[in-house]
Amino acid sequence: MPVILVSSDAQEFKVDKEVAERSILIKNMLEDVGESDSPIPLPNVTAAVLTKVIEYCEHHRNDPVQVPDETDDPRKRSNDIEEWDMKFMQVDQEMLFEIILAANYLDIKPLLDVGCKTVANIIKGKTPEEIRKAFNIVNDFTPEEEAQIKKENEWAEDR
Amino acid sequence: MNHPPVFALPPEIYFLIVRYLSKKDLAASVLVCKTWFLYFRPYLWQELDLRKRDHLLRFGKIPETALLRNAHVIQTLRTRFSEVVGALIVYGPTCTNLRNFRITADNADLDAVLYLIRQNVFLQDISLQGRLISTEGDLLRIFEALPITLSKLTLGSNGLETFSEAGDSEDSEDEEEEEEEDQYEHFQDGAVGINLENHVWALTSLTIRLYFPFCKTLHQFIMRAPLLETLCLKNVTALDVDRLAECLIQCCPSLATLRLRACEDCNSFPCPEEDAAWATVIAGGCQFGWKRIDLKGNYLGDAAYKALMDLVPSLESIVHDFRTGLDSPDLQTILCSASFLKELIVNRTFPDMCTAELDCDSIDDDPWVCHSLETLKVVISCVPRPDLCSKTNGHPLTGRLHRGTMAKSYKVQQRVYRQLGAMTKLKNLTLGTRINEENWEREQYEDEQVDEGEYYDHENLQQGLQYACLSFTLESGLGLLSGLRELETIDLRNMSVGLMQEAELQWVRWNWPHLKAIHLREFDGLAEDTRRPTPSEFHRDEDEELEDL
Repeated sequence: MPVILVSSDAQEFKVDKEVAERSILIKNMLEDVGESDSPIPLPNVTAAVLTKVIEYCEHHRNDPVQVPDETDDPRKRSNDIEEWDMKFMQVDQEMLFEIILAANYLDIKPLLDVGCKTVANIIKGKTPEEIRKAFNIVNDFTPEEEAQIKKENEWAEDR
Repeated sequence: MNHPPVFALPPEIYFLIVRYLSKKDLAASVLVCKTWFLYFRPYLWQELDLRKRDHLLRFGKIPETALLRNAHVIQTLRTRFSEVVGALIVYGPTCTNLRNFRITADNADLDAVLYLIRQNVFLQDISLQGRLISTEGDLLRIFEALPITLSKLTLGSNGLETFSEAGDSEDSEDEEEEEEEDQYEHFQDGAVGINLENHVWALTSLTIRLYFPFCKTLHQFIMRAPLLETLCLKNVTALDVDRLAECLIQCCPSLATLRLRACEDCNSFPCPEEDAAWATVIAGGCQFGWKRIDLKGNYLGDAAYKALMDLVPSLESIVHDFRTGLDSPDLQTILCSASFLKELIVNRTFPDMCTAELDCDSIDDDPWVCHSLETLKVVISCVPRPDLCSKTNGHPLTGRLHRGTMAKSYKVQQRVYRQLGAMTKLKNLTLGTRINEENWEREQYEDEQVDEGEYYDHENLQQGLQYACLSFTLESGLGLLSGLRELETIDLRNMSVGLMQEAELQWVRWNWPHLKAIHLREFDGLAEDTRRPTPSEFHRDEDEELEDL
C-alpha cells in the first residue's frame, strides 16, 4: 500500500510503504496510526529536498536494517562512501545541508551518516583559509585572536 | 548579514561530523571563525592523549591560560607523565569533567594523581599503572579516593622490581599491616571496615596486577562493589583464595567473568591445601551463572577440577593451560557439553611438561555442541601422518604417527574436520603453536632415526614444526570446513600443512570469504594472495596490556 507524504510547500508524494519506512520517524508514525490512508505531513521538509530523500530511500529500499554500532569507535572512517551515494551527494552546499537536516528530522541514519561524511571530507586536510573558502565563511577573528588560538592549539597539529 | 549555508547545521550535527575528523582537522577548524571555534573547541580538547615524549614537549608549550580555559572540556586523559597531572592541578583547576583517566607513569606522584581523581567526581574509567602503587597502603588510599560513578578500574605495577623497592619502607609498613589485621577481624565479624567507607556502586570491572600481597584491602573493596561483573586478578599467589571465595559468594551476585591468573615469572606449584577453597570459588560460579572463566597458570586439585567441569555447561569462555589439569578427554567433554561456549583457549606453554592438547583419538563421534563458538585455540595432536615420513631404509614403520596407512590418516582427519566444520560461527581458529625451541616430538623421531633407520625428511621441513597435526589438504578432507563462512583468521603456525598449495588456496578463496589472515610458517611461506597482517595489527599498546590479562 502506498503512503502519501506532504512536503512543507504542500506537494504530495506517493511512495511505497517499504520506501517510506526507511525513515524511522514515518515508520513509527505509521505504526502509531495503524491502517490509514490519510497523508503524512512533513512540515520541516520542502518538496525539492523530499524528492532527493525519496530518491535515496528508493535506491536503498532493500538494504538490511543497520545494526547500531555498539563499538564506540571514536575515530570513524569517512572514505567508505558507496559510489552511488557519492554521486547522490554531488549537490550544491545548500541542498547538502538541507538533506542532512531532513535525514536528521526523518531519522534516516544511513543518509545522515553519508551526509556527515561528505561534510567531513570537505573539511579534511585543509587549512583554515581553505575551509573558509570551501564553505564561504568570513573570518571574523582579529589577527590577535587568531594568533592566540593558534598558539593554544599548536599541540594538536601534525597529528 | 548573509549567512553561509553551513551555518544552517545545528551543533548536534557538528558532533556527528567531528567523529570523522582528526585532531589536525579539528585544530584547523577552530581557526575558521568564531562560531566554529565555539562548536569545535570542545572536541579538540575532549581527548588529551599525551603518551609520547614529544607530546609532552608540545603540552609544555600550551599557554597556562589555555589550560585554564579548556580544562573543563577534557573528558579523556591518557599520559605517561606525572608532569601533565601536576600542570592540570595547578593551571587547570577546572579539570573536573574527566570520564576516562589512564596513566602509566615511571615517576608519578600518587598524591597528585589522587588529587586529580578526587576533583573528578564523574570518572568512569580509571587505569593506574607504572610505578604508582608499591604498598597495600597505596592501594587503600586509591580505593578511598574513587568516585561513586566509577565503572572500570585497572591497577597495575611494574612487577617484582617495585616489590623490592617497597621493601625500603618495610618498618612503617609492618605497623600498617597490624592495623589492617585489626580491621580484618572487623570484616570477619561482618562489621564495616574502618578505612573504607565509600561504596563504588557502579563498578562493574576490576583488574589488578600487583606484586605484593593485597588481599585484605581487596576483600574490603570487593565488599563495596556490589555490582561487580568482571574481576581480573593477576599474581594469584598474593591472594587468600579461601577468603576471596567467601567474598565473591557473599558480595558479588552479578559476577560473570572471573580471571585469576598466576603470574608467569613466579613458580606456582600445586597447593593441595587450597583445593577446597578453589572448589568453593568455582562452585560459586555455578550458583551465579558465571559466563567466563580464566584460571590460566593455576594448578587445580581434584575438587576444584570437578567443580570446574560442573560449571562448563553454562560457560561462554574458557581459558586454561597445561597447569589447569584438563586433559584431552576433558577438552572433548567440554566441546560436547558447553553449548553456550564462544571461546575456548588452551595454552600450551611448555611442551616438555604436561601437555594441554586435544588428542584426535579423544575426538569421537559425539558431536560438539558449542555452535556459537567464535574463537578456538587448541593444539589438535596425534594425527597419523605417514605422508611426512620419507626415508625408511627398508624398515617397518613403528612410530605412533606413521603407523597405519594414508587411508587411516584421512579417516581420522575427516572425523576432526567434520566436528570443526559444524562450528559455523568460528572466526578465529588457532591450531598452531609458537614454539621457539625445537619441537620435542621431533627429537623423539630423531632418536628413531638412529635406532631403526626411519625418519622424517627434516631437511625439507623447518625446525620446530608440529608433525602430528591435521594436514589441511583437500585430499585429507579440508572441504568439510566449507561451512566456516565467518572465518577471519586461521593460525597454523609451525604446523606441517598443505594449505599453501595452489589448489588449497583456490579453495580458501572460494569458501572463506571473510578471511583476513593465514598464519603459516613463522618466517616464510605466506602465499602472495593471502594478506600479511599489517604491523599495526600486532601492535600492542603498552597501556592496554592489562586489558588482556
